[in-house]
Amino acid sequence: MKIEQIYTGCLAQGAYYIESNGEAAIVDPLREFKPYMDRLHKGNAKLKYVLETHFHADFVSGHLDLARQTGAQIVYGPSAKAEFNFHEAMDNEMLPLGNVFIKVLHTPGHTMESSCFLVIDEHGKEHALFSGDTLFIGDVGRPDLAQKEKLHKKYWRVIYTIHCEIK
Amino acid sequence: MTLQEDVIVYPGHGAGSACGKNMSNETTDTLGHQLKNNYALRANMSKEEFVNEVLTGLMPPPAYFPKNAAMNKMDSQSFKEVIERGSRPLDVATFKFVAEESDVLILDTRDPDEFVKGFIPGSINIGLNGNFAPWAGALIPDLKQEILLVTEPGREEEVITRLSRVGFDYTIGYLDGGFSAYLKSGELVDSIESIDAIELRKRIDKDNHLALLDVRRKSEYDAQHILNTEVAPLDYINESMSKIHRAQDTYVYCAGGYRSVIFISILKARGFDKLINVNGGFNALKNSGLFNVSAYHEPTTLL
Repeated sequence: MKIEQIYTGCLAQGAYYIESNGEAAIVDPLREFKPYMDRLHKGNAKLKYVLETHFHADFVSGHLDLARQTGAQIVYGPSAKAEFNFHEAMDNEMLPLGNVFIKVLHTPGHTMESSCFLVIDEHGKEHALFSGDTLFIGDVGRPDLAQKEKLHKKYWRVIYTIHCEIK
Repeated sequence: MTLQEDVIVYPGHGAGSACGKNMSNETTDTLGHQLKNNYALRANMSKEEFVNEVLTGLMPPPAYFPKNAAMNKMDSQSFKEVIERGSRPLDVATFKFVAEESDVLILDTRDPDEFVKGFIPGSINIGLNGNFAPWAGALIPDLKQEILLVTEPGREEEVITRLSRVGFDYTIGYLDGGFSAYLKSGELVDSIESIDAIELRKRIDKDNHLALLDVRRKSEYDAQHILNTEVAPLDYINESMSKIHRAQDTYVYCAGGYRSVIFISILKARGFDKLINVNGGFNALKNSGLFNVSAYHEPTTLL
C-alpha cells in the first residue's frame, strides 16, 4: 500500500493518494485533475474512489472531473446531499481497495456530513486516518461554518469519542 | 471501534487555513501524539470547555466560503472549459477594449514591489507568490466576475488554475506579453508611492499627526503593534475603508508588504488616491528600531 500527501501551500490544503494492488483512491482533490491523473498513470493504478471528507468551503473540489475522467465513484459521508451522483456511505461502512479497506467514520461537527476515512492495512491493522477538517494537527475544524444549531455540541461528542477510543 | 495511538493522522489542512484557528505547521502526526498535544483532545475536558474553547477567537469566515460550499454540491463546469476560456492572449488594444466595454476586473498578479512601480489604471494587485487564492476569494465578491489578467509571462495558466480552485471560473483572457507590452505601447500608467521605515520616521518627525493604518489581522495587531495606531484588516476591507480620510495622506502597512499593496490597489480603484505604501511592513518598522512598539503577547488564534 502507498499513501502520499499532495500538499498545496497557497490553500494550506492536503489531498491524498492511496494505492493498493492496482486500485487507488484520492481524498479531497483540488480542482485541477491532471496532477492526480499523472499520479495514477505513474502508478499504473485504476481510480476506484474519490473520497470527500465533507463539502469543502475553502476550495472547489475536482471530484466531478476526476469521476468523469476515470469512472471512479464519488463518496461522501452520511447525510450528504448534492446535485450529482455519489455514494452516500454509511457510518462504519468498509470500502475495499486492493488489499486494504477504508472504513468510513461519520464525524459530524465541522459540518453535518463530515467523515473521516480510516485505512485498515493488509494485516488488518489500523494504519492511517484521513481526518478532513474534523481533526487537524493541534486543532479541530471550526464548527461555525455550517450554521447548524448545536452542531458544536454534537462535535464535542465526536471529539470525545475519538479521545476515548484512542488506546 | 477503537483507534490505535500509532495511527497516522492525515488532516485536510495545515497552518494558514481559515478552516481552523490554531493549526500546527506540521502536516501529519500520530493520534497518540495529538492526544497529548491537541488542546481539543485533552483528558477531562468538559463539554462546556470544549464548546467554549473551540468557538473562542473565531472571526467571520472569508466571503467566498459559503459560495464554494454551494459549488461543491452542484454539477460545476469542467476545469478544461475554464482553462480554455481564460487562456486567450489579448494584445494591448484588444485588452483595453474588452476592459472598457464590460464590467470586467483587471487582476495583476505580479509581486507587489513590481506592481507599485507601474500598473494599468484601475487594476488590482494580488500577488501570485503569496496566499493568492484565499485572498482572491476573500476580496473579489462575485464568483462569476469576469477577470482579465496581467501576469508574469508564462504563468497565465497557473493563475487561471489557482483562481478556479476557489471558484472563479470566468477569466476571459490575459495581456499578451504582460505589463511590459502595455508599457511599450505608451498607454497611461498608474503607480503607488512606496517608502521605507526611515523615510516614514522622517515624515512623522516633521508632522506627528500622520495617519498610519495597520491592515494585518486583529490577532496579529493584538500580538504586537506600533503604539497609537489603528488596525483595519484587509480581510474586511469594506469596513476598514471607513477608517480612512480621503483627503489626508494615509501610510498603509501589513506584516511584510504583500497585503498593504492589495489594500491600496483596491481602494485606489475606488478613488482613494492618498494612500502610501510602507515597504517591508510592520516587520521593517519594528526592526528599524525607530518606532515604539507594544509588548509582545502570544496570539491565541491565528485568524
